[in-house]
This record gives sequence, C-alpha cells and structure tokens, in this order.
Amino acid sequence: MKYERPPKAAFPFARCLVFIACLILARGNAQEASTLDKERQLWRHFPEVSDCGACHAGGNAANPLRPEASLFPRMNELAIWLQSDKHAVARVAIEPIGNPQKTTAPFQASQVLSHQICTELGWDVQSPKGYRLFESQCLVCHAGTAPAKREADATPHLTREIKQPGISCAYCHQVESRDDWVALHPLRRTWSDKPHAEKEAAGLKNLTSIPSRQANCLDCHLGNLSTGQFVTHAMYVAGHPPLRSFELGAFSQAMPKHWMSSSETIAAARNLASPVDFLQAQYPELNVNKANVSKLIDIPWETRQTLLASLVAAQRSVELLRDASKGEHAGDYALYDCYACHHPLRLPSPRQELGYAGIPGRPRLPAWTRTLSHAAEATAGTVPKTRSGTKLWTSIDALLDRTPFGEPKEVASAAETELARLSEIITNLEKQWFDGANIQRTTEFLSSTPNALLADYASAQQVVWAFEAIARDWEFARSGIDKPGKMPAEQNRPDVLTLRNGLGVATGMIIPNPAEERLYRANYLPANFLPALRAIPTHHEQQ
Amino acid sequence: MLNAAAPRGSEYLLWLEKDPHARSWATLCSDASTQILERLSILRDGEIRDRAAFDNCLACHNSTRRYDEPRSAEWQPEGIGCAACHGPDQQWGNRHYLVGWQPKHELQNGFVPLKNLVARARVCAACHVGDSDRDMNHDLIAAGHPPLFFEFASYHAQLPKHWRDEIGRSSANFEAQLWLAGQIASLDASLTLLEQRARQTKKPSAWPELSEYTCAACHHDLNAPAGPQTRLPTTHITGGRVHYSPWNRAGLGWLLTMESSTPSSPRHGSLSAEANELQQALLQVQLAMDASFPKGDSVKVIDAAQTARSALDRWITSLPGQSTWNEADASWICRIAAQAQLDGHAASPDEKAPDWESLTQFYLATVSAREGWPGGKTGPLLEPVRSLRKQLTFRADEIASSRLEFGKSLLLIRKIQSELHNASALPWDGQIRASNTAHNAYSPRFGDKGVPEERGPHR
Repeated sequence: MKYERPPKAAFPFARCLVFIACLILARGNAQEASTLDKERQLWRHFPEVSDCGACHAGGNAANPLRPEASLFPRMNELAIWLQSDKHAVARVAIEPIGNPQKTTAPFQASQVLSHQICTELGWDVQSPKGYRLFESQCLVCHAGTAPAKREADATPHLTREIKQPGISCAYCHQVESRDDWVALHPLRRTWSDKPHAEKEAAGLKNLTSIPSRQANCLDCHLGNLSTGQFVTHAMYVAGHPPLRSFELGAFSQAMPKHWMSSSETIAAARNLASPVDFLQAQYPELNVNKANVSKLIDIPWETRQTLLASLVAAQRSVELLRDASKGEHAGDYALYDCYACHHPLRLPSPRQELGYAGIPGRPRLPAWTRTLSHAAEATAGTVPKTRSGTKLWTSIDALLDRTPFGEPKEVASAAETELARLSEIITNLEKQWFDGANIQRTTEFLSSTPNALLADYASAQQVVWAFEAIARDWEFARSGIDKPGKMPAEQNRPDVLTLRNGLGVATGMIIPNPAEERLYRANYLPANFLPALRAIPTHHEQQ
Repeated sequence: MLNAAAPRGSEYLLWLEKDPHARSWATLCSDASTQILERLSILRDGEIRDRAAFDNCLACHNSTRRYDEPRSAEWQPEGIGCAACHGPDQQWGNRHYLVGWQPKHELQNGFVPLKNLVARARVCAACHVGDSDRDMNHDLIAAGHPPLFFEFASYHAQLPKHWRDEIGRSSANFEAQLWLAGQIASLDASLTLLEQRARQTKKPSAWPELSEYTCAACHHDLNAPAGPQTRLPTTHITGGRVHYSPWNRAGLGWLLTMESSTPSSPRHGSLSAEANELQQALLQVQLAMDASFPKGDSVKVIDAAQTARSALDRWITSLPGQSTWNEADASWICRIAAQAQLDGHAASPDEKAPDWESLTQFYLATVSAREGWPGGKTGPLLEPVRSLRKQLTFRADEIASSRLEFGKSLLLIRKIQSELHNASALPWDGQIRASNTAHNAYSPRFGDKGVPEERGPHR
C-alpha cells in the first residue's frame, strides 16, 4: 500500500479527516473506549499528539502489525501510548494539588506529593512565579518542556487549566523543533533507506541505535544537565522518589510495546526487494552486506543491547558529573551513588565484608551505572586496548580517593578522559557481531562481577536484568524467532530464577512497583545474592 | 584510713590485668583490625605498605616509637602503657618511686600531672577524640573502626582505677567536674583536629572530612515512603545538607546558656564577655563547617577553629576558681555544670536535640548527674534515663540512628526535666553548701565502688 502524506500545506484539513476517522474506529471498540478517560481523550487534540494520531491511532494494543499499511510501523502506536503507556500520564500525575479532594483519580497520592515537594522547595504553585518554577524544573522531564523556553515565556497551553499530555511522541522521536520528518517519513520508499544522519537532519531521532536510544531515555531516567534535566538532591530531600537504576532491556520489556524489535525488523525486512539497503541504513555500524545479511538474525540482540546500553549509562553518568563540575551543581550529592551514604549502619556490615573499589567510605558515581560496564568492557574481548591501556574509572576514582567528592576542575578534566575511553569502547562494541561466544563470555564476566560492585540492591538488580536479557536470547533461540549462532551448551544456561530469589524479588516481576521495590531494597543482602550469582556455570562449553 | 594522695602500688598490675589500654596492641593485631588495615591498603600480603597511615594507628594503639619518628626508644608491642598518659618516662621512669620524690619534681622530669581533671581529660582526648598527630577519620570508620564518641565522665567511670581521686572521696561535685573537664578537653581536641584536617597537610586527612558531621544526616535509609517528613525526622531541619556534629560542643553550649539563665549564677541575666565570645566562635565554626561541605572554603574553617580555641582558652581563664577544679571546692561553675547536664534541653528540645549525637550527649550528662543525685542510680531518674538509653541504643539488626524515635526521646527528656523541676531543692544545692562548710555531707558513690553498670549506649 502506498503510504504517503499530503503536502504540509494541506495538513490540517487532511489531518482532521483522518483523525475523525480514527476516532470513529476507536469508538467502535467499546472496551478500548472505556479505558480512555476524559483526560486522555483530550490529549488527542494536542498538537504534539494529534499530528501523529492522524495515522498512528489505528488498531489497538492487541492488534499486531498491519502489513497492509507498511512493513514496519504497527500503526497503533498512539493508541498504545494513550491507553497504557506511563509516559502519557507523566505530566498529569504530578500536577501539584495540595487538596486531596481536588486531585485527579488515580493520581491523588502523586499530585499531593508533587505539591508537597514544591512547597518544600519554596515554590508557591498558587503564584505564577512558583508555578513557572514547577514547570521549568519538573516538566522538563514530566512533559518534555524545554526549560529555556519556559523561563522566557509561559506559553498559553502550558497553564493549569489545560493539562498537557506527558512525554509524547515528539519528545522521544523528534530532534528539538525540527519537524520536516513528519511530512517525509510516511514516504517509505524514499525515506526508509535513508541513512540515520539524514533522517536526523530532518528531525527524526535515531532510536534504532542502542546508544542513541539509551541516551534518549537516560535524559530523564538519569539526567542531562545540558538540557536542564536533573533531579537535584534538594528535590530528593523534598520528597522526589529516588530515581531507579535503569536498564534499557528491562524497562523496554515493562513498557507496552509500540515498536518493532531488531529481530522483528530484520524478519520483516526479508519481504523487501532489497533488504540489504534497508538493513545497511538501519545498522550502519555492522556493515551489512549481501554476504552477511542472512546472519543478522543470529545476533543475540538482547544481550548486545544490554551491554551497549550499560556503557551508555556509564557515559551519561560521567557526562552529568562533568557538566555539574563546571557549574552550579558541582558537588550536588545527587551526582553520586545514593547508597554510598544512604546505607544501613549495620554490624556486621555487608559493605565492609564485600570490600571497596577504592578508599573505603568515599562517595562514588552511582554504582549501578558501572556494574555492567565492567562486563561490557571485558566481554568486548576483541576491542583494542584503550589508548592509555588502563581500565575505566581509574582517573575519576583516583580523584575521589584523594578528596571526597573530588575537586571540581580536576573531576571535569578526568571525566573528559573517561568519556573518550567510553566512547571508544562503545564504538568498537557496536561494530561487533555478537554471537553465542559473546553470551558465554558475558555470562562469565557477569557471574564474576566484583563484590564491591554489588553492595546495593540497585547494582545487583542490574546484573539480574543483564541475565534476563541473556535469558531472552535463549528463549528466542529456542522458539525459533531468532537463531543466535552457536549458543553455549544448555547446561551453561544461567538460572535466572535462583538469581532473582537471591535478589529477593518476586518471580515474574520485571520492574517492581515503588512500594515493593522499597521492600526489596531494604531487605537486599549481598550474602544471599552472591552465592546464587557465583553458582552460575561459567565453564565454556560449546554445542 | 588510706591517704587519698598516696599511690596504690598496684598500678601496673591493675593496668596489665584489667585495663583495656593494655590490650590496645592486641586489638590492633586482631582479625578485625587486620581486615581494616587491608581494606585501607595499609597492610597487604602481610606487609605494611603505608607506613604513615600505620603510624596513625600506632599513635593510639601503642605507646612506643613509630616508623616515622625520631625517638630513639625501641619499638615494643606494649599497647597504651604508662608513658602514653604519664609522659615519656626516660627521666621520671627511674626516679618517681625514690625517696624524696615530690609533686614539684613531676614536671621537671616529664611526668604529666593527671590529678587535674582537665589535664587528665586532655590526655584521654588526644586519642579518644584526636589531635594533630592522631586522626581517626571516616575512611577508618568505613573500613570497620568504631566511630569515636568520647565522653570523659562515662569513660572515667568504666576504667579500672589505678589511682585515687581525693576529690572523688569528698565532694558530690566530682561528677559535674569530670563532665565539665571532659567537655572542655573534647571541644579543644576536636577543634585542634578540625584545624589540622582542614589544613590538609597530613596524609590521613582528606578534606572535607566526613566524620566531622552527624552520621545520620547521610546514613539513613531511603526505604521510608516518599516525603520529607517521613524519611528522617531531621530532614526538614538540615534541608538535606550535612550537619557539623554537635558531639564535642553540645555540652558546653548548654553550659553557656545556663550561665546566663541560672539565678544562682554570678552571670545571671547576661553572658560574660568571654562566654559570649566562645558562644559566637562556636557558632562560626558550625556555620563554616556546614557551608564548607562539600566544596566550600577550608580556610574559613581553619580561621573559625583557631578563633574558637582562643575563645575557649580565654573563657577557661576567666572562670572563677578554674585553677582548683581538682579540689573539693564547690564553685558556682560546678553547680551550673551539674544543672546544665540535666537542663540543657529545657528551652526547646525539638531544636536542640535533632540528632543522635546531641541526644546521646544529653543522656550521658544525665547519667553523670544522676550519680550525684540523692539515691544515686536508684533515684527518681532511674527509669526515664534507662528508657532514654534504650531509645539510643543501636541494635545489631537495624539502622538505629535513622529509625530513632525522636518523639519518644523528647518525651523522656521532658520527664527528666520534670523530675528536676519537681525536686524541692536541687541535690547539688545541699551538697555544695555542705561541701563548702564541713566536707561532711553526702557519702560519695564513685571511686572504689566499681564500674557503674550503665554509662553509655552500646553501639
């Protein structure tokens, strides 16, 4: 089916027609309509959503691909987002309302908490000035608001009377305000095979690339000072829940999926006349050609994603430290590992028994951002040695060993060194064609993760998530969806269930809800987790 | 009757058999200490790799020479021996038992006179708080060394005594004097150490030094439901910032307040110039410390610490009868110190006791004062003080400081204060008058009676 949009000038009218048609279709499904509350229905009319709704609101979450529309999009993305994606409610959930009677169900608790946080921070949200502060500091992540614009000009649609949607399509998919891609991207034949760089020039973010996708998520889920996205320690003190450790694979699994996985994309590409061109454009780092294109499906994509994403988490954490060290946020406690300070003063102390990565008792970067990066660096066995030949983190750790929290100028300089190393490793790892040997090697390195990196729940959780990614690749291999080449022997398959028990997490729960996670975090004991981790078979046996 | 001033003759045996100082070298060689040394990379593969850092350990765990030291004495593993407290024994060691040895010979021969309680407390504080040569810092604590919470009167009561305190046998003010001497010595030592740390000239020091701050400001769990009021009772007071530990300055702070608010005080209604200066100087230290974390100006801390030490010195010199603290002279300062022990939180306990450190100092002061109360340990303060201790005690399986129920603690403090105010006359009034006249009043309950059972919370 030819899938082209009208020229931009004719957009509004055409958009309205399609949108009305979509609405009629959507209303035909009573069950779906019942799940869309008033608020969500309103969001369809917002410019950042209605543009997309013109085409992507068809179908529903249960409806698989619509190959008649296109090989790749599902065409029900907006419906899924509206119905069940938490990002859609990220903004309404934190509308600061002090009176519980006036809150919006089911967000009573979070709206009251938001009001409490604003009050603790000294923002009177009843006043325009206080509300603007809320918008500029909080909505930058909860609604994708650009802070610079917010300070300068309170745009009319961002007022209390009109509740905008949360993190919408444009926030994740569009580069700033560049929207040329909107008109261009439906033109499949001329668009799909374009290189990512060209698409990005037109304003469409590259979310196929793992580093790029991970960085996009981490802007909010970790922080990005260059865009003003940073949960300060003062915000935490005021009541903002601790940011959880983030793992792209696990969080993607927990999301209602509105995209196609790499495996699905590659499988679908088989139906193209020239899959090589398309896949080359999709995965330029892998140098896809006629000789190797058939092996693309054999890559254990989940493991690859986890390892690459972990390095990006490390990279963004160091970037945050570097940017903060150059400005007003230097030394903000939120830059450092929460659990380096906020840990129980138990005797005997599990932290002391585990040992330390450097001088005991020094705050370091968030531990979870480096738990997997060691395994990622080590797994990339063919990666050339870094320029200095030293391991990651050494320069920053040395500074934090010398002075608690480090001297800002020195930290900024050391961060640049680490970023160069990380960038080099990421680029090299991205080029690798993962296979079963990588799975085995990753398993070995993960199971021998140094004790000092497993002192807290968030870090151990990263290891479990990494093993779950490996387990997904095993499942794919078994189910025949993918056929990762040369998977290790069956007896080397990691026992994720035992590992989860060691972590203390209930079976089947990818990401626990906050209340449950508090419980798991409090009850985490390395002494329970480590035996399960060390019991994972590490000997290399190929089938 | 024993001559209180006469030596016992069994000092060495008492020390050897019962004094924990005699085992301080063995403590340093224990498995736990070895692990600490290894975690700090001081010890690796059975060899000392960082001599300066190990010297820092030896400074308090062994009284003979260290690695980096010009002393000619031979190294021996003796723990904290006689010379550690009484001064290098090259001269007095072979003379102090000879016929004709007089107190006037002590200083000439390097013997540190410890009958003066402040001098005694200073000797203890050198290790138990720290000084320019001894730095038990946060790195060591994180590696496993117990944190230092020194309160002289409590430690004094727990030591197997190898000396006699004349004053202890004749004055009910003894506990108050011990407490006051301890507060002065601890404050002075902590300021000296603080200045040294801020100068960053010695290796064990790293600035900002985290152990200068209250533990629970950082070490509280994040598992309470979200919201500033629920995470930690002090969060709304500290605003998520660290807070300079009041451990070594809380007691004198109360005393300075009492000095002007107690009717019987000669300074009633207004602080002396020296007291005012000290109060302001301590405030400046606190402000400099709170502001200096983590990226602030250590020079301000050095200045503030130096100023506070000078102010402390001037305040001590200005005290009437300060030269006779070691005698049974019941000066007004003892009376105020005793009352300050109990009444330190009277004005506004919520503001003055926001942390474990302040509350525990209050508890220890209360226990010390209780020893001088009629009925002593079994008097009216028994139950509230015991309950307060229970509140403050760390249990092995929980994060006590972060789960400290401040509300309950404050109720107990008010109960203790109520006992104090309901008493027809403060016990010290009678004691002070009596001791001023005939020295025949109250039978003391310290000294040879043995170690009190409850003197400090066990962490």
